[in-house]
Amino acid sequence: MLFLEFPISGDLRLPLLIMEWIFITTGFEISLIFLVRYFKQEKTLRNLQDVGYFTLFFGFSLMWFFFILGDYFVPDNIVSPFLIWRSGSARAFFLNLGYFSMIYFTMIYLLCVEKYIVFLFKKYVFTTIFLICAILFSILFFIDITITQTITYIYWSSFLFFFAIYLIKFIKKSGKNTILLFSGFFLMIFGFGLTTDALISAFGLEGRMIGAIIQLLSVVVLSYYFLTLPPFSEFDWQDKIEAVFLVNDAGICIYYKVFSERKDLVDENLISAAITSINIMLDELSETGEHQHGISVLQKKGENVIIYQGQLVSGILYTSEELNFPKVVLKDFVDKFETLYHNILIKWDGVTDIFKPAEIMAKDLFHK
Amino acid sequence: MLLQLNTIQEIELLFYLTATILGIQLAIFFFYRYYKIRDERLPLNMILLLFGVFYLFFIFSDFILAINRLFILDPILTEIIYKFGYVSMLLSTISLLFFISIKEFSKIINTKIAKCLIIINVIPIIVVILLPSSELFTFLIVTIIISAILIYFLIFQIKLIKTSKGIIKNRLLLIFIGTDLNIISLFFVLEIIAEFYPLNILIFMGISLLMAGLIIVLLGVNSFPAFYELKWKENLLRLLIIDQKNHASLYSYDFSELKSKHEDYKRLFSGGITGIDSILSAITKTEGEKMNKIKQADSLILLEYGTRVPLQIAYALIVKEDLDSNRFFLKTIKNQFEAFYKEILSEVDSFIGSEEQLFGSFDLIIKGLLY
Repeated sequence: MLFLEFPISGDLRLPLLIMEWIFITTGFEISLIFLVRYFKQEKTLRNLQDVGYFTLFFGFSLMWFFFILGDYFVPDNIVSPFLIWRSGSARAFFLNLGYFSMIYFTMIYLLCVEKYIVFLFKKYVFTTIFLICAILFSILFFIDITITQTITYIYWSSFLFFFAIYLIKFIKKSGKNTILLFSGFFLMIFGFGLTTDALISAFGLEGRMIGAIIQLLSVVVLSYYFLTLPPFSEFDWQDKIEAVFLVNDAGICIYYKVFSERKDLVDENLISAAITSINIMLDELSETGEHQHGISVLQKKGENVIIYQGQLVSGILYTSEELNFPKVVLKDFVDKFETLYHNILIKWDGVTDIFKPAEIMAKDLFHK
Repeated sequence: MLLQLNTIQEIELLFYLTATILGIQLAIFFFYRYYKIRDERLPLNMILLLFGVFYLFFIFSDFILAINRLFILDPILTEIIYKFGYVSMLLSTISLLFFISIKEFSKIINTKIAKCLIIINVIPIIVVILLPSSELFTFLIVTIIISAILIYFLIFQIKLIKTSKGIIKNRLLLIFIGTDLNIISLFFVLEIIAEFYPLNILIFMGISLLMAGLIIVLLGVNSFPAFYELKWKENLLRLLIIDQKNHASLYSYDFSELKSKHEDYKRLFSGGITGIDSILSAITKTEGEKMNKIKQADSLILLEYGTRVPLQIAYALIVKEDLDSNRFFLKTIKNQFEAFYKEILSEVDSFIGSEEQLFGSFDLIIKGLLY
């Protein structure tokens, strides 16, 4: 076993510091890309999983920032008393700040992910477990900063368990570049392991250097994977689409398409008439009592009807779950239909053949 | 011989490292954006290439000067690295001047000055190579020439921003503000200022300014649109989209007040273009090739053809002058039209007679592309 002194000194100090700094700079940059991606999306489409990944990368980089402060720039001598503690060292203090930030940022990540995905048997199971862990960690942190490191190993093992379940679910949904995702996370875990105090004692600073390089590589691989994925809001939504209808101002169904084979609907003309009546009622319910252009959602158990009232036609979408993305797609469909057929809709002679191309449009937009 | 760094020097190095990572990424991003639209051959897109070169030299110079100051003790090696750093810095400004000297900009600024400044820029390069970098004369020459370039560059920026409109104006504004901040940050790291080191807070101010500038430029270059030639819109006369199979006009748009002499102009034009193409193909034995330009008196017809087989759609843009921007604009129209009407185009034969009604809404897209 090697005896290691902190702050790190010797020939490897500077190269190691530079490598770890590059790694955390890249991590911060990637976290910001997720944040920008979140804010760049339309408000209704924003998915908190982007914020989740921002907090995960940001927390990880911030943790490493504190590790750098602790390992390179402050002494490791145990002093008694130390700030508010009976004893402690400056290094232990900064390492704890690192653990602290990672634990709480990870919890935000879990909260964001569990908002959309149910793990095990109930929503927010892992968030609750990790919140308890975080509170326990905080209590220990205020009692003795020299014993918290062991707790973090338990924390990391639990997080890995969560991540394994998450990855299996995620890969089933995204279904591509599985190797890239797995190798990214494997590299991250392996690289991080090499930088822990336990393994530095076994392999020395050379091992830590290799660990930092591997982690840098993993951050690049993972960011490439996540940033080339479509927005989180676009996963799965097409499976939930059941039928789409277009109804003109007079209440005539000008186009309809049923996507779900299981869907048993009443006659399209009845639906058109019903939707027109609902539109009139919705207009009456509004404060101005005037014709409103916008999205309305009618919800019953297991059935959602999204209505978008355009200028000349209304779009109706049947979905099995209330999702945000189909609302935007319906709006796009109606807007495009109106733009394409603007001149025809104004003086429509009742012939529906002219709307045949809408079939291709609907298939492109709503069908997988 | 390497110097052992103290804590402040290490922090300074880390700051420089961050700025260098950002700078290299920025240069790569500029090259990538240029690579993506390089086939369009719009001369003003050179902004992406030349700014990429500028940032590569600039960051290299900044980093190498910092490394020299922090690590190198050997006086001969120090002198050599300083010379590399300064030459790289001066080369970076040359790429900016190359951009301004593009012929197109003669409409807004005297580009001969840019060409003269490129030559004048060679003087400090020679001075830096021949004289010791610590000489006050070297410092003065470098400062004076860079300041002169910066003033000229500022005048150019103001004029270009005034001429530009829309997204390009906003993006240029960000790129120019960021670049100005970066150039100003150079003055903080010159050797003469570094002599006050390590107590001088100016060094950290310089690096912070550099990083802020790089981030602002990054925001500017992100989704930078195709940079059309100046006053290209005044050059446009009329657009016609023709169904060559049915000799029918699908869509037309007048950019100017120009009115055609014939009442049935669109039908005549549609048939005419198809006819000319057939005759030309026959007499030149180029049946497989398509005609792409017709020059006649004071106007020019640029032609593009649809990619959706078996449809035969031709896109004709009548312009006053042959500008690369107009060709790019026509290609954009083609792509937009085919994307927007992809569902209708596959059944266009069944809608003969309703073309005006069906495609009239393309006016909105054209207006969007123009403004």
